[in-house]
Amino acid sequence: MAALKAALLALAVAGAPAAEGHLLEGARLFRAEVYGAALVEFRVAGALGAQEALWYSAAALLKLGRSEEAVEAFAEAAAVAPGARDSLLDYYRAQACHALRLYLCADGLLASVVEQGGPRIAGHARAMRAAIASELAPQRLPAAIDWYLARGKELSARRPLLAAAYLEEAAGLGQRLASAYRRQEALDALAKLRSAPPPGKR
Amino acid sequence: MPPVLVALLLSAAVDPCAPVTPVAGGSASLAEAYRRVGDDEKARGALDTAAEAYRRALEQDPSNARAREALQALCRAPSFDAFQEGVRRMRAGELDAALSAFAAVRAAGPSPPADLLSGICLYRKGDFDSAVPLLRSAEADPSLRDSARLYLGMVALREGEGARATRLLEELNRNPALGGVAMELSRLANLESRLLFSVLGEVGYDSNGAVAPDGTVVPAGGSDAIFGLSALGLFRPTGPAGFFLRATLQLAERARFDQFNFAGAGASLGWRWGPSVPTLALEAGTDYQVLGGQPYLWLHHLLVSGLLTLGPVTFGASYALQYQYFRLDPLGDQNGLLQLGEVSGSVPVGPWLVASLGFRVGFDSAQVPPLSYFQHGPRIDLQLLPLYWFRVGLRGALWWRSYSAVDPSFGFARSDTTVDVLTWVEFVLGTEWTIRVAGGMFRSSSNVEELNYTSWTLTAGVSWTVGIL
Repeated sequence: MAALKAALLALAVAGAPAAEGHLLEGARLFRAEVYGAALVEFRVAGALGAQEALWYSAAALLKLGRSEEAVEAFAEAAAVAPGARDSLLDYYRAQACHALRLYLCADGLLASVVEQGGPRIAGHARAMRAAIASELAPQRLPAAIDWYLARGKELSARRPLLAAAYLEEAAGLGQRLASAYRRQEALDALAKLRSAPPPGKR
Repeated sequence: MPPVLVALLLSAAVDPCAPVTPVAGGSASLAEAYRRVGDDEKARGALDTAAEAYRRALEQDPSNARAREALQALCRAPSFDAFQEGVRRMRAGELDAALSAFAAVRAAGPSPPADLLSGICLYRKGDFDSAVPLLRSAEADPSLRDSARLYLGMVALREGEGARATRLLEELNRNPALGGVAMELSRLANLESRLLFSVLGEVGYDSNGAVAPDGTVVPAGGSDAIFGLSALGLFRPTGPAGFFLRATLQLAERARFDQFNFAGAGASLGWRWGPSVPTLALEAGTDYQVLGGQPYLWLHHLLVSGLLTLGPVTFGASYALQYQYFRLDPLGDQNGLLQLGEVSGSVPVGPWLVASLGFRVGFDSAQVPPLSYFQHGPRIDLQLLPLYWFRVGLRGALWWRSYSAVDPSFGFARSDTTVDVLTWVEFVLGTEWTIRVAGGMFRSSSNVEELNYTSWTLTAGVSWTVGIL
């Protein structure tokens, strides 16, 4: 949370003036664990031009238990405001991925958190990585890949960002098997997804 | 919706449908920004957040008709209103009314949050059979899965399914948001298993190791090193309530005064009514002790004990009847019945401290009146639990003991006062291992000069406790 506060204070100096107050109010509410109200403030800050607010909206969505939306919001934030990313936000994003059983997504983010995060958060990240390692036993992977692929295809038309997360997981897991089980199918679905025109805003 | 969010939801101070107070100098354009956020949240099905956004819009601009209409529509929506009503009732502790409101939400369509909160209400009412299907339904929602499993684990724990509870709760240890709670519950679940083993090994220092268990002091004594090993086995075929069989083993070796090396083994069987408070237990058992390699004491006991909660206080009472059969010839005069009784009350003081105060009485009927005594005194326990992996304890006990008759060897009736203080810190490592460092002081003050002494101890140990069934 300290990193979030520091990032927001920095934004208060350098960010869009109209959005500053809402970012800071959102951060205050987030610290007070009033996540619904924090989300509203972050969304308003985003509407007023602070693209970085997407990261914080995603964190608030995670805290509200809206993990699917959080994964989508983190993906959108990474695309439009990559410079605002930090270890704490990576950790939140990893938690969102983990909540959806997107273990490779979570593990990749946690690896960087272990490297760059503070001692406490790195400790949590190590514990999560150890738990994830046990979930990725090779004998479980084909069934998991089937599920991720089915889920990704099901969501492709309606929620492409979320669908992409599932398809990337399927492709990544396929790479872990000598047979590259359904990896190419997942990559093809991803390519098709990325070449399709974006759907209307939900 | 993790428990923390459930708690937040329940403790939310603002009713989303209460009248809105405008802010001074509000902005119409900002109100529109809030209103659009509200519309977006409503479209996502997040009605709570939508209501929050509409309220902010109306604070900025009370004349924003679209925000007002949207908020009013939300508050009129049966499922939203019913959900809020359920939350309000749950906050007030009106669990039946809350359940009715959540039932209305669930009747309008699938609602995992309503399932979860209904399951929690039923858990709090003790209706575990009804709670489980609802918690299972909430478990299917990824965002509610860990919270539902936490309560499923707690149900298993309350039903005496220690091993199942351990499995459910150990999974949650990986969740940083729930890890502390789940770890503590996992440990409890481990302790509630049907077959439990526990071993404690410790080493330590005793500033006055030349004291026998009956208080006899070796002249020109001194400090000693202690090596101890204790083991416990507990079998409860029907869980915490019902029949139980307990076996204990204790070894305490001393580096210098090996005449006080101690070994003991015991077994008890009994019956417990009620898996948690209120509870009543009755047991009978026997213990055999060896001192310095010689048979020392054979104890037979009957024990009845119970716990009852009234308001914030948990009251406890126990009565033990022991027959002490000393196997060393010089101690044969001390054979006889020892009766011990205690009443106590414990109460949480703030979020991290549990305080317990008790008063004990004892009456020893030895073979000869000069060795018979009456004793009484208070006991206090403080347990500080600041973190799930770290705890601090302090225990103090005082006995005033008056012997029944003049002892011919002294020419007066013996009278003792003993003070026993022990403090410890524990570091919890997972669900099975605990490191414990303890420091103690024991002071005996007697009108028999050679029975006055003080003993300081410092020990460090590690315990392993595992529930198997």
